[in-house]
Parts: sequence; structure tokens; C-alpha cells
Amino acid sequence: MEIKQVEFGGGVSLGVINTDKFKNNWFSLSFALPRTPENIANVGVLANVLKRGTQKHRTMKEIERYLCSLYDLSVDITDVTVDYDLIFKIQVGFIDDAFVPLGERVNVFEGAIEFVKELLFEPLAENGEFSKDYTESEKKHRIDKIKAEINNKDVYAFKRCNEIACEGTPLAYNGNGTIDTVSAVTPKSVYGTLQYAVGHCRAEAVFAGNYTESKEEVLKEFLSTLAAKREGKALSPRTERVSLKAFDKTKEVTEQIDAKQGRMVLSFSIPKSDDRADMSVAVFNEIFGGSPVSRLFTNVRERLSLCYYCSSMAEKSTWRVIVRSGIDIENRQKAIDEISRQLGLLSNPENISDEELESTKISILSSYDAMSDSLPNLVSWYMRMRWYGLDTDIEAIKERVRAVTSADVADIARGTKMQVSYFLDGKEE
Amino acid sequence: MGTKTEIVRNAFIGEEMTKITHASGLMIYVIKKEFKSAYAIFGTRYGSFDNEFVVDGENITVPHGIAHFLEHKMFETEDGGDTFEQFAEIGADANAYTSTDRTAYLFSCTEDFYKAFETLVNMVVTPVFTKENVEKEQGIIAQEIKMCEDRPSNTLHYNLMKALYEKNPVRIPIAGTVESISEITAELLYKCYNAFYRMNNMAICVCGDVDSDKILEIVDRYVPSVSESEVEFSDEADSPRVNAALVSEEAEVSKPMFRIGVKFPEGTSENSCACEILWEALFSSCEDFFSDIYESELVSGYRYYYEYSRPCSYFAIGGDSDSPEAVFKKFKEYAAKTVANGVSKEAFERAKRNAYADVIRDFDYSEEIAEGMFESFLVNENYLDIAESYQAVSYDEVQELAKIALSDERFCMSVLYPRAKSPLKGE
Repeated sequence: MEIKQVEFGGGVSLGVINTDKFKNNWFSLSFALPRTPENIANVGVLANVLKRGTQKHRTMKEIERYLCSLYDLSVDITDVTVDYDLIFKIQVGFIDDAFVPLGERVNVFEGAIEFVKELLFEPLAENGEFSKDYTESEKKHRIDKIKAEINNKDVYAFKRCNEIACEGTPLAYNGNGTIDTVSAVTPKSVYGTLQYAVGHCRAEAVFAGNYTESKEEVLKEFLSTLAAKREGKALSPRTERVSLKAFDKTKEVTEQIDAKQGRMVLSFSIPKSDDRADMSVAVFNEIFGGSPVSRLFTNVRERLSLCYYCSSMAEKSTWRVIVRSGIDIENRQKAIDEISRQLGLLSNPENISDEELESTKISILSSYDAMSDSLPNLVSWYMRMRWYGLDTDIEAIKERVRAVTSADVADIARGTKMQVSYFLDGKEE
Repeated sequence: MGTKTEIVRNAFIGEEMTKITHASGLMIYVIKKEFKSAYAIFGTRYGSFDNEFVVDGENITVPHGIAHFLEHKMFETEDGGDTFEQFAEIGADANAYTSTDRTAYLFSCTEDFYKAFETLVNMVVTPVFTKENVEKEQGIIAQEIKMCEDRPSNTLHYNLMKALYEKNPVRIPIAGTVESISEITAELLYKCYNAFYRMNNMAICVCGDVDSDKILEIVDRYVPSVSESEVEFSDEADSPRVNAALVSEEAEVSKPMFRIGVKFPEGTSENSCACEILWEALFSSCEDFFSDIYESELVSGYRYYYEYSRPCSYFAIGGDSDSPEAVFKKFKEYAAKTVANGVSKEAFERAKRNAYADVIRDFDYSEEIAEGMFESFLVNENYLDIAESYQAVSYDEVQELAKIALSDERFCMSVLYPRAKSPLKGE
């Protein structure tokens, strides 16, 4: 699938994925801010304050009714972490004009881009600040969200392990912020964050869908306007990548909670490669714990019946593999022993059969092929790859997957070391 | 009766579906799309709701959670292996799920579709239940049950079911309880399989760049052209009166969570589109109720939905609130006002527009299309008619539904309150 790249200057780029295979189109615009506690708090509140009103649509109800008039225009304003950066993102999904019912005079795409422009250039702000009421209201919602993290024990345990493993780096900061940092947010600081993003932060835009001439004109006008707002201004630096602290001995942390089941999260460091595009880590992770036929699933769950789930995920920005399992404390050590045993087995390439290696690669290649069947997935992936500074040529990536050998996988397993063992012990009162 | 094939078309949304009625009674639906990946479901009209049934005149009661347990065991092969491995060898991503009224086995893949499809069909028609494999699974599913019990949203939902219904099995978690699954045996699994996994109670739904003739060829190899007697489903009428106005308990949550339910036993496949439009017109983020409770900071994490399936039909709204009682009061006031003044015409038009957009959105995903076909099979509807079904809903119909549904006796609430102390011990 060909992706056309267009540069607008001022750190504004557009990727175009042109396809007429779908009934809906997608557009995403993201800004990279330094990942600091203050930015996390302000961006989190900003994402929701923007939805409360614009100069043209001054209440949430007016906004929602406007989006409905554009056939339920889907608008997602959020923040994510990509690599070490805090990414502030606006993503819109909308039906193609070809599927607007006959007789309805609605230009959905133009309406969608006009709305994005309202959000960025004409938010509901006066004298350099957002409404005090809206800001305080969204601060409260954000604080509620922080307090509610404990409701989902799986996610809570994962975050706690992450905080410990990434201590001292920007990745240790809670993605929702903290009660203190969100409480310190003001209508002026939120508005200032928006102006900073619009005026100083690198911006990656992606369009996926039926890219007609009229759509091209609308997008070029919008993105040129955005680029012009940065003319002569210095662009914000990217967040500096900081290596994680290496522990000589596994750091073990146990916390207790009233719950029926414990949650275990293990953070392992893996060998770093100078080549960030190397796909050996992806293949290793899939074999280790990334699928229902992985070593962890078939052994810790199926053979030993220790848990319902035991899986792994790879995080290349921090060179880690993270294992997660819902497990009772009496089975914790047995599970860790088996996980370590499987790592040991994988350290020898003779323990990785050709069939296992090939079916793993097929699974990964299949997921890349399947990506082109979902425009939002493709948009999200492309945006992430651009922020990582990695190759977006899917065929080239697939070749790299095919080139991975069992020796490559074994090298990673051999260099994998448990750094943090976190357990959220579930004990009912 | 021989196998019958028909082509169903919808010119406006530009889709075409092949509908095959196999000689065995099995339904096969195929929508061809030029996607790289294909998605296939082989499902049955059988879920956690069906724990009392009649087979050959014999009344049978089985432990709760057996439909889900059976689903887990279907992946086991005769030699003690796992069908997941067979799917993995060809790069297919397989899964399964059980809900109150259905069980589905599915996969998606970008290559070797027919090989994966054959694996799926063979797996579903060849159950292997043994004493040993049942005992092993009890440990795994017990862990799954505990995991689900730790999810507040799970507890909130099942308490809502208890508030709505006195006896309906939807009150019991789909996976059952640790106690109920300990009573499951291989013999009982076979009883349930033979009762509900009859071809005339099942459907295959496929979306992707596939050939329906080849799909039929594979089905013919594994499914005999013999029809069995049809499964009997009892259709007991239910009262509109709820079981309890309020079900509440304490849980490990930071703030009260609530779900308000409106019992609607009059729900049918014929009026389900109208019911969805009614709820959208009253409770979407475009409407007064939501803007009132959000801007007064009464609710966060808001959701609203209409649930229609064979076991149950109800409306719901939910969220987090420091004062669920105040939300419930506002809800009742809003309901009374709607009954008195009617549903707003503009809100009705907005709801129809959103419903139409949802349908168009779903047609971009092979998984949504295959699931949509399966859903339509379960309610005996034509999937390609769905856009027109929403368009055909009239304002008068929605007004009538509002008058029936929005009465006090049908309202109930489930609430989870935080425990008095911090959920993290030692803080």
C-alpha cells in the first residue's frame, strides 16, 4: 500500500493513504510535546475542555448536535505515549460523501476539517484562558479518573510495575497525571498548552480513505495555515531518551488489595540493538508469550493450569519485555519458575523448531497484511511509526521479519533479565 | 430438502450476500469483500441462558457455566492436542466466545483461508470431552471466574440483572461459579452438545475475499445432509415489573458506579431498531439529559444502551457518580416528562441519522460484518436490510414505545459503593 508523504514546513507533515475500498475515511493530527508531569496534566484536561465548546459551537450539546449533522462524525481527542514523547492527538472518522443519502446536501469532509480548525484555532477561550468553569469541571473528571485506576486491577498492576521499572525517566510518570499536578492546572496553563502545541510542536497528520482533489485542497489549506503559525518560531525539542536503571538483583514489590485474584507483572530488560527496526524482538515476544500457542500460554496456563492468562508484550522504546498474569499468590513462585525455565529453553536455538519459528513469522506477517483492512488501525500505526522515526514501508518490514533466525531469538532470550517482579496480592477480607 | 443458494442484494449500500440453506438445516452466509484478511464464524444458538431444556421428552437441568465450559473444551483434539496450534501453523488467529444466547468459534487470517476454514468446521463437528480434560479445565476456568469477579463492571452488570429479573438465568455469570463448574462432567457436556450443536440451530458467517462454492464444498465434506429435529426453545412471557428497585453492595471502587435498567419484555426482532432509536433519541450525548448530568458534574464515564436477545430485553444507562440516587431521580423526572410531552422530533431525526452512520461504519470491517450476519441469523432477520430497517422506523412507533417503556414499575438500579477504607491496604 503506497503512502504519499507531503511536507508543509514548520514541522508539519501529512501522510496520505489513498484507497476507495472503504465507506468511511479517517484523518488524524498529532503533536509531540515533551513528556513532563505538567504537560501530562495540562494535555489531559485540554483534551476534554476542547469538547466543551468552541467559538462557533459554544456548548457540548451544540458540538454533539453539529457532529450528528455530519452523520455522527467521530471525534477522538486524546493523549498517548509514543517512544518518550507525549502525543496530543485529534482523530476524526466520517462516512464518505458517496454514502450520504440522496438529497442531503452535506459535505462531511469539509465539515470535519472545519471542526478540527475550530478546536485548534478557535477554541472557547478569552483573554488567553479557557472558561474557569469548564476547566475546573474537567480537572475534577480527570482526578476521578486517576482515583478510578484501582477499579481495574490488571491495568493498575501494570502501571505500578512500569513506575518502578522506569523510575527516574519520563516514562515513570502516570499517563493520567497525579492529583497534585492536575489540581495545579489553571485555565491559563491549559490554553497555553494548546498554543504551545499549535505554535511550536512537530505535527504529524495522516489521511486514509478516498483522497479526491477536493479533499486534497481542503487539507492543504488547513495544514498550510497550521505551518504558517509556526513561521519563524523554534520547534519544541523531542523528549530525551533516557536509559532505564539496571538493577543488579530483581526488585520485588508486593502490595495488597481486597480482591479474589492476584496480579503479577514482571519487567524484563532485553538486549539493546543499534538497529531499532530489527524485528527479532517481535518474533521473540510472539514465541515467548505473545499468542495462544506461545510458551507462556501453553505451559503456565494449559499444562500447569496456574492461571487464566499469562502473556508478554515487547516495548522497544525501553528495551523491555513485560509479562502479565492473573494468579493466586500460592502459585506465584511456580509461575515465575516456569517463566524462567521457558526463557532458559529459548536461549538455545535448538529448542526452537523450524515449524515454531515459521508459524510465528506467518502470524506476524499476517497481522501486517490485516492492518490494511482497518483504516483506523493503519492510521494509528503509521502515526506511531512516524513518531518513532521508523520505516513505514510495510513490505520492507515484512522482509525483516522473514530474515529473523532462531539464533537471533535465542540471543535475545539469553540476554533477557528480570528487573522487576511486582505482585498485587488479592486477599479477600 | 436439498441445499438451496440465494443471492441477496442491497443496491444503496452496495453489498451482496450469498445465503445458503444447507440440506442439514445449517445456514451459511457469505459477503465477499476485497480485504486481505477473511473472518469466519461457526456459531450456535446456545448460551449461558440455556441451562434447563428438553431433549426427547426428557427435562434436563445442567450446572451454570456449562455452555462456556463446553466452548473451552471444543479446542481439544482427540490426541490431547490443541486446535489453536493447527490454526497457528497457517497463521490464522482463532478465538471463541460464549454469551447468554450464543456461542461462536471464529478465526481471521490473510492466507490459507480454506485450510483454516476446514480446521474450524472439523473442530466444531468433532467434540472431545474426557474426564481428564474436564478436570484440567476446571482449574483454568476457576481462575477466569475469579478474574471476572474482580471487575467492578461485571458485578454491577449482574446486580442489574438481579434487579431486573427474579429467576432469569442471565442473573448468573456466563462462566458460572467455582462451585457450579465443579459439577460439570464429560457426560453432561455431550448432552448439551447433542442438544444444541445441531446444524439446524447453527450458522456459518464469512466475510472476505472468498468463494462461497468452495466454502460449501468443505461444509459438505464434514456436515451430513441429514436434518435433525429442531431445538425447542421455551418462550415464557415475563412481567414488565422489575424484581427489585435497587441492588447495591460495596466493592473496591473509588467512586460509586451505577446502572439504571428499564425492563422491556415486549422487545422483539421487529421492534429492536425502533427501541435503539428511542434510547438514542433520549439519552445520547446530543440530548438534554446527558448535558444536564454532565454539566452539573453529576456523572462521568457515561454510557447508554438497549440490549435485545433471546433471553432478555432491557434499556440501560450507567456511569460513575457521587450520588447515584440523584441521577435516578433525574432519570425518573425525565422519563415522566417524555411520557407527558413525547419524544422530540428533532431528537428522533438525530437518532436515525446516527443509526444509519453506525451501519455504514460497520460495513468497513470483516469482523463487524460477520458478527452482524450471525446476529441477524439469531433473530431471523436479513442482515442487508439493516440500514432500511432503521430508516423505516416511524416517529409514531417511537412515541408508542416510550409510553410503554417509561413507567415506574419497570425501573431499577444497581449500585456499587466504595468500601469505607482505601482499597490499598497499608495506605
